[in-house]
Amino acid sequence: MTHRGVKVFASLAKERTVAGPGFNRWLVPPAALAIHLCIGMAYGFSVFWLPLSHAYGVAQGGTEAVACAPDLNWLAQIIARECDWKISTLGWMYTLFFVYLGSSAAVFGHWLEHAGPRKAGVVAALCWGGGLLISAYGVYIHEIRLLWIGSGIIGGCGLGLGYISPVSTLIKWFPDRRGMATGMAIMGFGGGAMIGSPLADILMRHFQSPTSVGVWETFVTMGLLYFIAMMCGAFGYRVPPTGWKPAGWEAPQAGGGMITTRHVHLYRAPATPQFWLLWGVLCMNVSAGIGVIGMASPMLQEVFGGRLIDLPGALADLSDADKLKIAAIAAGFTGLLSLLNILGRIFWASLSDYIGRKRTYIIFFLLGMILYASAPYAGGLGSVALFVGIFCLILTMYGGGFATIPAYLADMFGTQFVGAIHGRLLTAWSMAGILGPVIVNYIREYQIEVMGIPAAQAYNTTMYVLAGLLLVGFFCNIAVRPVAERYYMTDAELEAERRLAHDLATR
Amino acid sequence: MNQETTVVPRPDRSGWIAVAVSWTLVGIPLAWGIWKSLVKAAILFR
Repeated sequence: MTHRGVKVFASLAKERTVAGPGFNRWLVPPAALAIHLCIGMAYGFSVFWLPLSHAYGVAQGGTEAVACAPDLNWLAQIIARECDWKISTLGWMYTLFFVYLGSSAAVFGHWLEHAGPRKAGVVAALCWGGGLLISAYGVYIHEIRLLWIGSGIIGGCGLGLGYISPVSTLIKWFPDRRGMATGMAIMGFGGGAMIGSPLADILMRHFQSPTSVGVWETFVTMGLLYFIAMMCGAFGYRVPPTGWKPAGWEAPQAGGGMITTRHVHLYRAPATPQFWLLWGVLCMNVSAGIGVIGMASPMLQEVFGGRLIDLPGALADLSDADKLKIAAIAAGFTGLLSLLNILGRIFWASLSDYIGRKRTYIIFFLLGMILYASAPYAGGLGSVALFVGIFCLILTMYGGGFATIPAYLADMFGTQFVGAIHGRLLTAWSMAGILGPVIVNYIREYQIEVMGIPAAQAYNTTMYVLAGLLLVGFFCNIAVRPVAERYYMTDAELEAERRLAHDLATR
Repeated sequence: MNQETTVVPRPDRSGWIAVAVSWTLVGIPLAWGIWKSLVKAAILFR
C-alpha cells in the first residue's frame, strides 16, 4: 500500500474520528442523512422494473419485450440471456435487499461498535455504490444474476451497515434528544426513494436510445453519485469522547427506571425478555404497516372506483382512459403516503423524547387499531378525504415505529452496544417483510376465490387482521419493564469493552 | 455502577457555518424530493 493509501486507511480508525473540543454535534445528523438518503433508494428500485422488462428487446432494435420460450422453467429463464426478464423475477431484488439488510445489520453490528461509524460508512458506500456498478454490468450483458449479486446481496449488506452506522453515534451525541437524533437519520431512509426515483427517471430518459432503455447508464451514474455522497457522510462522522454530555445537561434520574444509565452487552441482550418484547413491537408495527402499504393504492381504486373522477360505477366498469386517470390519482396517493411516512419518522421520534418511548408505542398501537378498523367504515361512507386521512396517519406511525426503536433500545440497554443491538433487532423487519405481504395476499385471495366476496369488500377482513397484529404489539409493549440488574455489565466489563472499542483512547 | 466521565467542550461558534453548509447540502435534494412528491400528490386534491 502506498504512503497516501496508508494515511487514508488510518483515518478510518475509530480513535481518529473522536471529535475535538469545539466540535458542533449538529454536524453529525447531516452526515447520517447523507448516507440514509442514498441507501433509501432501495425502496424506489421498482422504477427500473418496467424499462428492464423490455431491455433485451430494445437492445435488439425492437420496442417490445422478447418473451422466453414457453417450455423454459424458472431456473432456465434466469440463466437465459436471449429473452427479457419478467417483473416478478426482478421483484426478487426486494427480498434480497431486506434479507441482507437485516442479516448484515445483525452480523456486523458488533464489528461496527469496535470499528467505528466511519469505517462502517465507507464499507457501506463501497457495497452500495459498487453493487450498483456490478448491476450496471449485469444489465449491460443481460445477466440477472449479476443484478441480484451486485445490488441485492452486496448492496443489501451496504444497506444494513449504512442503516445502523450512525445510530450509536447519534445517541451518544444527543443523550438529551435521542429520539429526534435517530429520527432525523432514519427519516433519510424513508426519503431516499423520493429523491432517487425521480432522479432515476430523469437519467433514464436522458440516456435512452434506440438500442438502450438507459438503465445501465443510470446505474453507473447513480452508483458513482451515491458512492461520493456516502463517503462524504462517512468522513463527516465524529464520535464524542467517552462520557461526553451536552453542557448543563444531567441524565434524568426519574422515569420509573425506563431510561438506564448503565449498559447491557450485545451478547446478553437477546437473553433478556425486553429484547424479544421490543422485537415483537417492531415486527408487529412493521408487519401491519407493510401490509397496509401494499393495500392502500388498490384499495383506494377498488373501493371508490369512478367516484374518484366523479363518475358512477366500479373500477371494472370504467373505460381504459378513465382507469388511467384513476391510476394517476392512486400514484399521487402513494406519493403522499411516502411523504407522511418520512414526516412521521421525525415527528413521532422527537415527540418520544418528551412523552417517553413506551407511551409513544402505546399511541401507535391503540390509535393504529382504531384507524385500521375504521378504514373500511370510511370506504363505506364514501368519504375519500376521511379514507386518505386515515391512511396518512397510519403511515406516520409506521415510519415513527422505525425511528423511535433505536432510542427505546438505548433507554433499555444503554448506549455502549445500542448500534449492534439495533442491528440484531432489525431481523424483526426482515420477518415483517414476509409476514405483512403474506397475510394481506392470502387473506385477500381466500376471500375472493373461496368465499366469493367482491374485490372492493375483500379488504375489510384484512384490515381487521392487521389491527389484530397491532393488538399483539400493544401487549408486547405493555409488558416491557426495566432490564433486570443481572444483565448489566460490571464496571470492569465495561472498561474492558471500551478498551476493545478504542473508547479509552479518547480520554 | 458504570460511571460516566464528563467532558464538556468549549462552544465553537464558527462550527455553525459548517452546520449550515452541511444541512444545505442534504436539505436541497431532500426538499426537491418532497416537492416532486407533493406535485405528484396534488392530483389527489383536484
